[in-house]
Amino acid sequence: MDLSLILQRCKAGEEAAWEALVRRYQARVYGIAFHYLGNTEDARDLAQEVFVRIYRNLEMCEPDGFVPWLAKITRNACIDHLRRKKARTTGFQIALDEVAELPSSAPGPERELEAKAKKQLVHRALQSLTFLNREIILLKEIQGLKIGQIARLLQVPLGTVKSRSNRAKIELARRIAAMRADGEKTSEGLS
Amino acid sequence: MKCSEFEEGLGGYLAGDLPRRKIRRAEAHATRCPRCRRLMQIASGELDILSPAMEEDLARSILDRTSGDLCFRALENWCESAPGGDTPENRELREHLARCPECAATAGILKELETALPDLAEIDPGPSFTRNVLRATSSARGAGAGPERKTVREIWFGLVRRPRFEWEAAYVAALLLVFVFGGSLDSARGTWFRLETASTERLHSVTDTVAAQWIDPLELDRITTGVIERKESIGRAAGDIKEHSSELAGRAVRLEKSAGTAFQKTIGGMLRKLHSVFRRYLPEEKKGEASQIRRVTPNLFPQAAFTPIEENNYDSAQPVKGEHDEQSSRSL
Repeated sequence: MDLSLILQRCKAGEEAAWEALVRRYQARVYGIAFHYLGNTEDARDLAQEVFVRIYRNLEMCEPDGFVPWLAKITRNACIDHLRRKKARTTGFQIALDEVAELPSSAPGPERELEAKAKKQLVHRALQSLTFLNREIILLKEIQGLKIGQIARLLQVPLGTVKSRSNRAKIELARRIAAMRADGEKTSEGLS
Repeated sequence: MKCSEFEEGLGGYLAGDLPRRKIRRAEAHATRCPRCRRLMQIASGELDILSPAMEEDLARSILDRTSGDLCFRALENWCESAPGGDTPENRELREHLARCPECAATAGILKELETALPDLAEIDPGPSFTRNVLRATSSARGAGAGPERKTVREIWFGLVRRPRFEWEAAYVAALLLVFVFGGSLDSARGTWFRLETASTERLHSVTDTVAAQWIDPLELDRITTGVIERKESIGRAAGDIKEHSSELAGRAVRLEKSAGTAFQKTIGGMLRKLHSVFRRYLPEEKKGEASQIRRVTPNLFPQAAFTPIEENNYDSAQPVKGEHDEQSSRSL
């Protein structure tokens, strides 16, 4: 169903439309929250809180730029949450067992295991990046926001996002390569 | 031809700029001298002394020191446009990736990330999530979809939890202190009284308004009592500060007086000595001018106690040469 139609019906107070909106965007909101907080429980609570906020501000919702607006609300809620916990510096700390909970779309148990291991590796590598680089990767590469939208959301110059985006991606790839090399060394040592 | 002459002319020889006679001499020298022959072969490119690995290392270190990290630039270009087309840039990039295994591995991972990262965008929050959200929003609807009605306690804790709150509280406290105790004590007393009256009136009006609109009267009473107690304790602290400040002001006046007296006494002693020296050493016709010191001093320094040494005491006032030396040596 078209987003503008869903929003129009939501504003008219149709419960079915609201449920459709929640179902459509819940995985995305939860995904952003999980990448910021690194904790499934907190991410679930926060995603729920975000939807309550959206519900209260339905009048402000516009179909154009809805996803960036959603990302902004979720990010702000996450930052507030991290500030409250005085844990911004240790944000993105993702426990390995929680990463293992991440669902995989790969068919077959072996493929699924492999895909989970890959996700786990990407999360660990993301965790080792700087906060700004992680945010840029999360918003640009993972959530697919445009550079201008990210610059407005993070309140940094457009040039900073442009220059950082490739640098952050290369840094992430190098970290993953180093982690793979370490893993191979460890497995060789064990065998 | 000497080796040094050969080395000097080598550039010209390779460029073909040397005269025929010198070329013959250089070639003759190269056949005789193995070192210069090798040098000629290296310079002309006949002999390759670097292995491919050494060549790569050398190129990398030169580029690192001139145009920056070669691998990073190559990977940045790769991110901009993965080398598909047959442009010169892409050819160079492919050549670099073929030469550099690290960059090739990183580029492979970058390629994987293109699909792996968007795959992380959506994570299923679990089966009960939608139900919980709908329950939470239906309860919000029950409470009215407009802005939330918060209790004073919630507003207060919301304010206190903000990271800037400590700075704001310190700023307000500093402003209050400067405002109340910044001026003289009399005006401070008046200011304090005015502030106390005004703040009490303001507090009453605010609490009445808040009570009318928002909250439980018992809770309001408790908060108001707390605020009034705080205000009283600040008043007590202000009284203490006033006492201490008046005591300090008294001490400062006493100190200033004693310092002034000591200063004037010192000046008086110096003038007395100056007067006696003038009286002794100036010619007779100039001695009258020395007495001006005596006339002027009491006006300038009333506490200086100017008592000049009498003329008949000049000799006794002036130490005898030997005696002076003895005193000096004793003091030393």
